[in-house]
Amino acid sequence: MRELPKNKISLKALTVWRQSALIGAIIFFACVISVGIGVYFLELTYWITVALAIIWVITSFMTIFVVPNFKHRFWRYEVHEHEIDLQYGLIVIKRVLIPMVRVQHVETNQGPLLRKYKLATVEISTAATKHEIPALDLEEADLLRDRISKLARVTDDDV
Amino acid sequence: MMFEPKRIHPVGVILSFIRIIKSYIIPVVLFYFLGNYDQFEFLFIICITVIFLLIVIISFLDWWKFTYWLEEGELRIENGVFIKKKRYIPIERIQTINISAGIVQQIFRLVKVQVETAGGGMEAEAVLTAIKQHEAERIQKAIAVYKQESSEPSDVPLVETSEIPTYKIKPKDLLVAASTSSGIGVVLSAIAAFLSQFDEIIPYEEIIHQFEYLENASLTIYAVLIFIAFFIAWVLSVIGVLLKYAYFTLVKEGEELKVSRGIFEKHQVSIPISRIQAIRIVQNPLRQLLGYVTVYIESAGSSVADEGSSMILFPIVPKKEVAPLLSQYLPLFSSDDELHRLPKRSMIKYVSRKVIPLAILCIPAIYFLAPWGFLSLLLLPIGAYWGYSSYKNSGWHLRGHQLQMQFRIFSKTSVLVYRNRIQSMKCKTSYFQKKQSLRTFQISIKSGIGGKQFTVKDIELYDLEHLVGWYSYSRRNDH
Repeated sequence: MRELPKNKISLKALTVWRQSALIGAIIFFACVISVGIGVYFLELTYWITVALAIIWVITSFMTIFVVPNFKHRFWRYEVHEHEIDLQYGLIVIKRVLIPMVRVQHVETNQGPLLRKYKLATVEISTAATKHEIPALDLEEADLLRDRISKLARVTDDDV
Repeated sequence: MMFEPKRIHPVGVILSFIRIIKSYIIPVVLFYFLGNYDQFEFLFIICITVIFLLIVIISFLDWWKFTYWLEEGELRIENGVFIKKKRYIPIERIQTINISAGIVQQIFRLVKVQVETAGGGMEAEAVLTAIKQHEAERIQKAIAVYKQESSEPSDVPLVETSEIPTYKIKPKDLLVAASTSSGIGVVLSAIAAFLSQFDEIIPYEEIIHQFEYLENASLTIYAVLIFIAFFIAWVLSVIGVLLKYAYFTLVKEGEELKVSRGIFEKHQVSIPISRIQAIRIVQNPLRQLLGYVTVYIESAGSSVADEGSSMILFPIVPKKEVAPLLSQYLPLFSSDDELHRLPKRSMIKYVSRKVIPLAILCIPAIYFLAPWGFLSLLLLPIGAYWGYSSYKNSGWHLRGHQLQMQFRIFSKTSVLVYRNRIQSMKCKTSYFQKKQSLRTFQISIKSGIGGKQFTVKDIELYDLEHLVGWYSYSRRNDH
């Protein structure tokens, strides 16, 4: 059995995910309210509003309190000399192998939330696919990006 | 060689004219129908004439200013009336030369040449819309000679060997291809879209009025009418495929494959073998019944695509001929009948994956459409068979550096790919798969300007680890 990738992502990712889920929940709540107003004035059955409200409570609870924990628990990555090994997922766990020779470029990205917590996303592109390590400490992300980019410079002498 | 700047054939004016008209026709038509020109008819005609003349002048200038030539190992193109554009393409970068001839070109015995590089976006880097056939051949030859010179001088000179492998589609195979293609749906929707354009002109209501007696007619007549509609659609799709793949010829010249096909629209594509990422062998159920397969090439960075981003290598061949043909044209790839099948316990998952959604569909059908709704239960055995056959046709096989993956979504598909062409490998584990130690296995390859994924579901955990070990670049150093 191949062992799991060694590194976990930053614990601060939890906070970031929770906050962005919170923003999502607020937007969703605004939608629920406006639908509720519409339902009231159009004199439709108020069950629509109730159903929406229930969905809102459940999804908000899940996305804010439950999902981030699981996501963080499963997220692992490891950069070997010749390949990158990722594991992530929530219900379906995915494990990805990206050989260094296939890496086209690496980049780090920061959204406003990530910037606030001094985090960054590392994005690895091959000719056909894109992969993301969602939240690493800024310095770590920069180091990782430089390291992958250096390792990816090997030529393909295989086959 | 051709150092002096050249213009394309004057027919280019017509082509340029058609292109401009084409790109403006929709706004013009909209403009016409949206406005009300009862009083301005005279003005309108003048406007149209002026615009028409302008377009004629622009297309003439377009043609006049467009020049191309080969110089210092570059294909140089200059064009532009107001803004001068100069595009120099290094010959080493040229990947494919696609020669085709539309109806206009055929009338004047000309060809259209599209030159593409690997960087390719959606459009070809350079398009020579109308040049003489021998001119195109000269460019091709010049490029080939240049490439030959720039590669190692020790290379064997381009010997015109008498036996260049050539594959021509047999008339019988072409007929089979046409009659079993699944283009029916495409044709049906095309007809529907086409007819809906004429709502205003064709008095549908009157036609329907004529058929009013049908409302009292029995179900049989409707069935017959539907059948006739399908039959016509089928005949049209047969004709479409016949026109598209008539004279299909595949030639292997050195390290390139050249495909030419078509009657009205003549196409010629050449693909460097080194750019081939994977081979896909597909059988739709009808063709599987008759023992025929279609072979596709997945190649990188090409916009000259047939269907999606794949190119057809053999439109239709008997299954047993695939291996010998591949060994002749692409000896690197070999298709094996030997296959590691999936474990028995995967079968239940495959069948239930098809049956359970269908069963959920059946419940409302039965509930709302009381007696007839029970007919929907017939879907269950069909779904079960579909699932079983997907299970039966799934598997994988390793042969040196080549991986063969086989699966069925609707058509049975076999993919041949080399380890160094797999961009990344992914394994997925759902809760139920974990319990049964099964895994979903997926690879990504580059195809066209994007990527393509191929998946085999529910393979044995042990087998998956074998595949990962085969692919992993670190492992082999550890041992």
